[in-house]
Parts: sequence; structure tokens; C-alpha cells
Amino acid sequence: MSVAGGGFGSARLRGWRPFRSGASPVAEDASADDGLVLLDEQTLARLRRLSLLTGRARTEGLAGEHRSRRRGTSPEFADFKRYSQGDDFRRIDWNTYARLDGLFVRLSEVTTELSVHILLDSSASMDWSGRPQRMTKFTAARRLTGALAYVALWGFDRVTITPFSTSLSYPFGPVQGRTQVVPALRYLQQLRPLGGTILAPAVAAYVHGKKRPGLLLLISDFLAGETDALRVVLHDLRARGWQTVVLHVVDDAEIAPDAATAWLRHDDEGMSRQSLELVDRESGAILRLAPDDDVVTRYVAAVNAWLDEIETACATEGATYARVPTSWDLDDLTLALLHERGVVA
Amino acid sequence: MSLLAPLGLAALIAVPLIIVLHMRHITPPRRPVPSLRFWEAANPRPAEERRLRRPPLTLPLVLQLMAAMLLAFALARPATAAQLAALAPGLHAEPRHLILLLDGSTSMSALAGSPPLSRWEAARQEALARLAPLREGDVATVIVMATRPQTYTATDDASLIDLRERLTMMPQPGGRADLDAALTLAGDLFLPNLERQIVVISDGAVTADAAVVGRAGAPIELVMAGGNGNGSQPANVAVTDIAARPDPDGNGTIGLYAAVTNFGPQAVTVPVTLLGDGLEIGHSDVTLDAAGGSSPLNWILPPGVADVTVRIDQSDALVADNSAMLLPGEAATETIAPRILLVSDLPGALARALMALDNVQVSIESSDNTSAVAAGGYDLIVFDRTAPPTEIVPKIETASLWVAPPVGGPFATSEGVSDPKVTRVRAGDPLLEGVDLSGVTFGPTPNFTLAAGDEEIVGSADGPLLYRSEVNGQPAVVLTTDPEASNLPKRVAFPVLVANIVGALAPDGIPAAVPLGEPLVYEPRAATASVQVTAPSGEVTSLPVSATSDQTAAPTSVSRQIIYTDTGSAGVYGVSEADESGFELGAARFVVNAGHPRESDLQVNANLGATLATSVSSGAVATRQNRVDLWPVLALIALGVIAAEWITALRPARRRRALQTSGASS
Repeated sequence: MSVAGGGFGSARLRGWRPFRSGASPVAEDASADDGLVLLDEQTLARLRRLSLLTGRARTEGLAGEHRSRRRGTSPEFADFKRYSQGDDFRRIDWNTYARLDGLFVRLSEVTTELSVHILLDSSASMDWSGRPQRMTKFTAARRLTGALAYVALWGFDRVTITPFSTSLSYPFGPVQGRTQVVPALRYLQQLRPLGGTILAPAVAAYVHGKKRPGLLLLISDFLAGETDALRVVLHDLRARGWQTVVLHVVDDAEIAPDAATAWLRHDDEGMSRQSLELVDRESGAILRLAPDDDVVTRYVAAVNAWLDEIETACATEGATYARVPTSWDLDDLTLALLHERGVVA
Repeated sequence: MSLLAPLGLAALIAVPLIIVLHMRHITPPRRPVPSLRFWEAANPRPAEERRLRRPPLTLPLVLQLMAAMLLAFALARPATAAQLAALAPGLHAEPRHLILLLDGSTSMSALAGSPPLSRWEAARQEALARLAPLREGDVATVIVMATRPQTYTATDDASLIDLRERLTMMPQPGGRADLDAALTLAGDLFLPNLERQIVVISDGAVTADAAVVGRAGAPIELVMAGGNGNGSQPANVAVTDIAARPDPDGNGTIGLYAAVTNFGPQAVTVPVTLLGDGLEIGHSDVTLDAAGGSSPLNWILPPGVADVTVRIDQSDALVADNSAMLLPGEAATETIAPRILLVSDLPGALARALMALDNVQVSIESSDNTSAVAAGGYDLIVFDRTAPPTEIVPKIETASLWVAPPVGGPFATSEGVSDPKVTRVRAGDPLLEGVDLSGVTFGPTPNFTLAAGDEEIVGSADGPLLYRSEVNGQPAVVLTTDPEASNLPKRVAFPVLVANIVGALAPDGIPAAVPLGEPLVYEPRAATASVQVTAPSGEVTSLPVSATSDQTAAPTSVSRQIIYTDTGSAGVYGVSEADESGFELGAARFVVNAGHPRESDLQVNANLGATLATSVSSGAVATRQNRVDLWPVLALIALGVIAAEWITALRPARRRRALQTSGASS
């Protein structure tokens, strides 16, 4: 695989300890979605006008595009302050001294880079769509990941894309610079969903391996594990100084009562059915049920309760939460939602 | 409506089977879901596991049930009234067996209509018209009624075409039509499980036995051929008989006898001309009564006339019987008449009786000439008051007649001579047919004794007077008394008795004339291995001579009969005999004349139609008459239902492909 072993140098990946060397979500046969275009030129043009909002995430390192609380020597003027001992007298504004007869030091703004960490759920549960003609949750998640990575790379942020399922897989990055846009998109294009999901341990393992916090974009359907475990993880991230954005990818057939009822009671050919067997994408478990109204009602109620729990947990732990249906258009609704939630600007 | 194959309803067992198959609780379709966590919470009670469920009222089930029931009824072959056939001409009728009884008798050569068309031709066209509507599966049998019924059967299209062609080319066989025999044959030929029908195509000049008609087992339709169904009786005068025999006066002349009969409804006077060797040698106007009035004609032919023809110089419906031909000189010149050797030292009454017989060749040898007996080549040897030496007797290899054999000859005698009187007569024996022995006295006669196997015909108190025996395995007749010593030669009974004995022992000669269509049946001579018959058209027919058992003769006798049946054409036929090496032993001719009292009578049998109308169908086929088989219609409908079921089954797949296509394009 060019992404794992060739494109970014084996030396960089050699010291990547938290990732297990086992099952990779990058399928060996990557030809199935080779023709998939994650982002078209129109979308990319719109994305180029956006930037990620850092929020409480600390900027660091080399100069970047993000404003920093630190003051430095950049040409960008920030403020004046009275000269005090120890200040660099080279930054005294002599014009102000002449006018006001006082020593003022000219403060300038420091722009730093942002570390953007994207954790992409690549479990089998993401490989599902409520309608054949609609994209799967994994594809929608890859498009969203690609869009966010593009915005970050275009803003010279440091980007790391890490798929996870039952464990962390080989990441893409960290990379920086606009030249990494194409490799990032190609990487996403070649990802394949596989296996189950252990969300909390994977996220915990990821953040523990990072020295400095950053912006963590967690993209998943969150079907694995309990909400409490997610709350614990978010709490840990907050404590470590991470800015967390939870992007919940859902299909209408999962959450909307009408869509769920239609999907449940009719097959792809529109034929009504009296009973059916549901097969868990991840575990393979089978559940036979008669899709009557009571079942649908109870299902929708359970899903809504679960959604509320996730949203509440995110709000409690200071994480930005956005529910992204797969039916939404990335150019319009999704970016509008992210803008509304303060993810991009 | 009735079912031609009720067992086909057994296919209805498919109906409950289809329902049971649809009632099976089949494994429900599987659908992948991202996770079962919410479904498990929403579905605490799993779906009930049952093997059968209530029959779902779905379109595929309804269509499949309809197709199964239609096919079952189609297999049962429902038949309905033929009136429906008019509404749906394409319906396939019940296969039937049509038997055409085509009258090929001589009377069918009568002309009728304008332009004149023979009844045979009209009947043949009618037969072809009856065969035309037959289809694959029908069976057609044509029985041509003539002297020898000819049967042709067609069971498929190819053979039906062949039958039509054969019928088109078939010449009229002639002879007499035996409708009873043809009906009996038709009843035996009927195939089972087919609609039966008999169509008699005739001029109506035939008779039918009501009992035979009743046993035919099928409805019989009578079709009058040749426009004779209007009841009018066509005029026809025919020469119905002709015969010749040497004039008893012995002056070489030949007496000719002919009979002319009027079968018309009115009395007529017709001119009759006698032709001898093509020249008119006699003429007579004969007045004949109506409806069978006959008049005999007698002429004395001049010596040397080879052939004579009696001709009616008046045209009528049946031209063929207006003349009759005879070959009176053939008897004198024929070479294949039975050869009789008379061994007699003093030919007398017996010799005269033999010489008076027609159609035989008599040779007389004295008893000294034993070589003639030993040489053989005769069909009958007559020993007149003599017997060959003992060493010659074993060489007798032909039938023999012994008249007053001497004591000590080949036949056993007891002592004593008596003047016998007839005390026992074997009534009904063919040798005594027409023989009146009353008043016959016999002279002194040795007392003969019967050997084992001998059969007494006439006997006295002292022994047999006339009996059958065998000599060297050949039949022999022994007349123990000397006719010269009795009054028997002076009585009519003697030549009749001699003729009967010769007829029984010697093979029959070729008759001088044979009615049209009647078979030529005669027994060739002893040395004959094959016989060739040349028809007037020149066609030569070779007939091998084979021994056949004659049931009416003595058990040990062997009859070698030649039967030639192709006598449908009037004219002179030639017959030649050849031995095993092919050497021609002799030749003769006979004449076939069309005139016959029965066939020349063209009057329609008024009772024929009523008699044939009494025919009834057998119970097995009565219900199939006038039925139309509906199975093709049902099968067609079933096919349409199956097609609809297929379309219903394929529709979701097409819809899925359409959805996939639209999804890919979006």
C-alpha cells in the first residue's frame, strides 16, 4: 500500500507504537472504490475559502495561519503597551513617543500552526446504507474527513488521519502543506470498512500517544459501546486540553421513523414482507423479527434516546457535536452545520 | 361437456401441493443492519417459529393455482358439443377413424350425369373429398369392395398422402361387391379410443344384412355415387351369360348359348349381333320384359370359329356388359386342360362319357401299353375293366378311377359274385350330386371289401359298389360293377356320375369365361410349377403353384389351386403353364365378360339406406361423437397464465436493476 509504506516514508511509521500491526482497514483489494470521487472541484473551491476554528485548541510550533495568544514579532499589529524593563527596545514605537511623549512598545500577533487529528471510524457498521442509491455512512464519513483535511491542509495545519475499528490502524500523517491534499484524498479513497468497533479504548490510546493536544475530529456512527464510555473519553480529552469535535454520521433509515419503517417493511424491490432477519454488520448476529408498528415505535424511541444521550454527553464535556446525515449534501447542509457549530469559518 | 381422459384430473393434486409450498414458513429475507442494539431492545419477543403459515393470498399463488388447474383440465381433455367448433374453427376435433367402403363392383362403371362420369370416378372423388379434412392423428381406412376386398390404411400425414395418391391412380377392380363382408371387416379394423365412422360410397346396387350392420359398431353413412340417389332406375340391357359346347351330333359344329337380360324399368327390344372371328354371322332382335326380363339366344356356330362375340347394338348406362365374348375353339385346341388316360381294351360307354366332358383331354390306350401308365404326365388315369400289372401299380402317381377292376387287382375282393342291389347310399356325397340310381340294375359283380381308410359311397348287401380309396397315396375311386353289364350307361345318371368323378379326381380346367372381377380359380396340371397370366393390357402375372390344403376334399388329397384376381378388365386373358425348368407345358385363354345378373342390375336397393341407418355406435365411442376437444384452448390459456406468472416474478428484478442504474447515475 502506497499510503502505509511508501508514500510517506517507512521511517516515519516505524516509530508509531500505539497502532497495532494487525488488521488494517485498508483493504488489499482497493479497486472497488477507485472510481469514487470524494470531493469534486466545486466542493474544493468552496472549501478553500474555509478554515478550521481553533477554539480552545492550543496552537504551537512553526508559524501558521492561526492567530495565537502569544505576541511576537510578526508584521501583524496587535496592540501597544507601555514600555517596561526587559522589553525589546527595538519594538518601541517612536512615532507614538513623538506624539505622546511616552514610550510604548508595539505588540504584534503571532500566527501558529494547528494540529488536526481526525479519527475516522472504519468499522463494518459504517458500511451501510438505508437505500441502495444512497452512499454508505463510511463514504459520507470519508467525504467529510476529506473535506476537513483539505481545509486543514490548505491552512497549513498539521493533519493526521487515523482510521480505527477494533484498534487504531496505520495513520495518514501527520502531514502539512497543500501538496499533501492529493495523497490524503487518495488515502481516504482506498480505505475499506472492516471489523467491529472499540471506540473509547481506541480514542484513549490515540490521545495518550500525543504529547500536545490539538483539534480532534472524531467521526463515527458511535454504535459501539455505551454512551458513558464516550463521556469518559470526552472528559479525558477535555482534561488533556484537546478540542474535540464529535461528528456523528447517521443514515435517515436509522433515525427517522418514516424512513426506518419503510426500510424495515419493504425490501429493495418494494415488496412487502411479513418477517425478516436482521444481520449485525459487525458481529454477524441474527435477529428475526416481525416488523410491526410496535417494533418500529420502540426502535425509534430507543434511537432517539441514544442520540440525546450522545448529544448531552458532548455538551457536558465541552465537545462540539454535529449530527451529519448521509443524505445531506456536503457543499451545502453539512458545511452549514459545521459553520453553525463553530468547526469551520 | 365430457372428459375424454378423466384420469388427467389426477394432475389436480398439484393444487394442494402448490398451496402447501406457499404455506411453508420459509426463511425470511435477511437485511444487514449496522447494529442490533436498538432492534434487540425494540423486539424483546422473537418472531414465532412455525413450519406452516396461513396461505398467503398473493398474485403468484393465484396464477400458479390457475395454471395448475388449467393444465389438469387440459390433461383430462374436456370435449364439448361440436357446435362450438363453428365458433372456434381452430379447435382440434377428436381424432377419428374413418373407414370408407368404396364400391368397386362392375356396376360402378356405369355412366351417369353430364358430362358422363362413371360411378367409380364419382365414388373416388367422393372418397378423396372425405379424406381431405383428416388431420394428424386421424386414421383412415379405405376398403375397396370388389371380388377381393382391398384394404388401405393411413395413420399419419405421410401415409394419408400416399393413400390419396393410391386412390387417385386405382383402377376399378370390378366384380361383385360384398357389403356385408366389408362391414364385418371394418368392424374388425376399428382402432380403440377413436371416433368411429363408416362411409359407404356406392351406387346403391348392393345389399346389406341388418344383423351385420348392427354389429359394425359405428354410424354408417351412405353416399350415393353417380347421381343415382333420385330413385330413377337407369336402363341397362346386358349379355348375362354365354356358353358353347360341341354339337352332340358330332359334325364339328358348336352350339352357342347366350342370355340377354333387360334390367331397365321398361320393356325393350334390342338388336343382338353375333360375331364370329370379327364377322357378323348372326343377328336377332330380342324383346325383353322390364325389370329382369331375359331371353335366351341359341346359335349353331360354323366349324372353325375361334372366337365369338354376342353384342347388343344399343347404348345404355353400362356399356361394358353390352357384349360378351367366348372362345369356343379353345376347348379343342387347348393344351392345358386336364389330361385323362383311359386304359381300356374295349372303349364303350365310359369312353363316350369321358369324351363328352368339356375342357379335358382324353387319351385312350390299351392295357398292353403299360408304358403309358408308367410314363405319367396325366392328371387322371381311368382303368376300364382292366388293371395294370402288379409292378406297374406302384408307378401310378396320379389320381385314378377304377371301373370294374378285375379280381386279383390292387383292390381286395372276397369270394363270390353276385348281382348286387343298391342298399346303402352316402347321402350328400359330391360324387352323387345329380345322380339318380333308382331303377339301376347291376350285372354280376365281385364282392369287394373295403380296406382301412376306404369310404363307401354306394353299397350293396354283398359289398361296396362305389367307394373312395387310395393308390400309392393318390386318391382313387372304384366302381366295382361293370357298366356295360348294367343299365347304368343308358341312364342320365351315368355321364353325370362320370363327370362328378372326373371333377373330383382331375384338376379343374380353365373356364372358358369368367365374369368381370371374379377370380380365376383353377388347379394346374400335375407337372406345372408356375403359371403366367397375361391380362388384356399385356400385363403378365406369374403365379407360383403351391400346394394348399383343401378342407372339403379327402384328408389325404392335395389341392394346388391357382387364384388370379385381377380380372377387372373385360377381354381375353392368356394362361400358360411351365414346369420347374421353365419349359412351357401348354397355354390356354379365357374370357372375362362384364355381364352379370347382379352387377348389370343398376337398380338401387331401396332398403339399403334404411338398413344402414340402423347402425349404432358402440357404447365406448357413442359419447365421443360430434365432440370437440378443448385441451388446446386450455393449454393455451395455461401458457398465458404461466407467462403472466413469469412476468410477475421477473418484475422485481427489473425494478431492482432500474434502481441500481439510477443510483449509479446519480
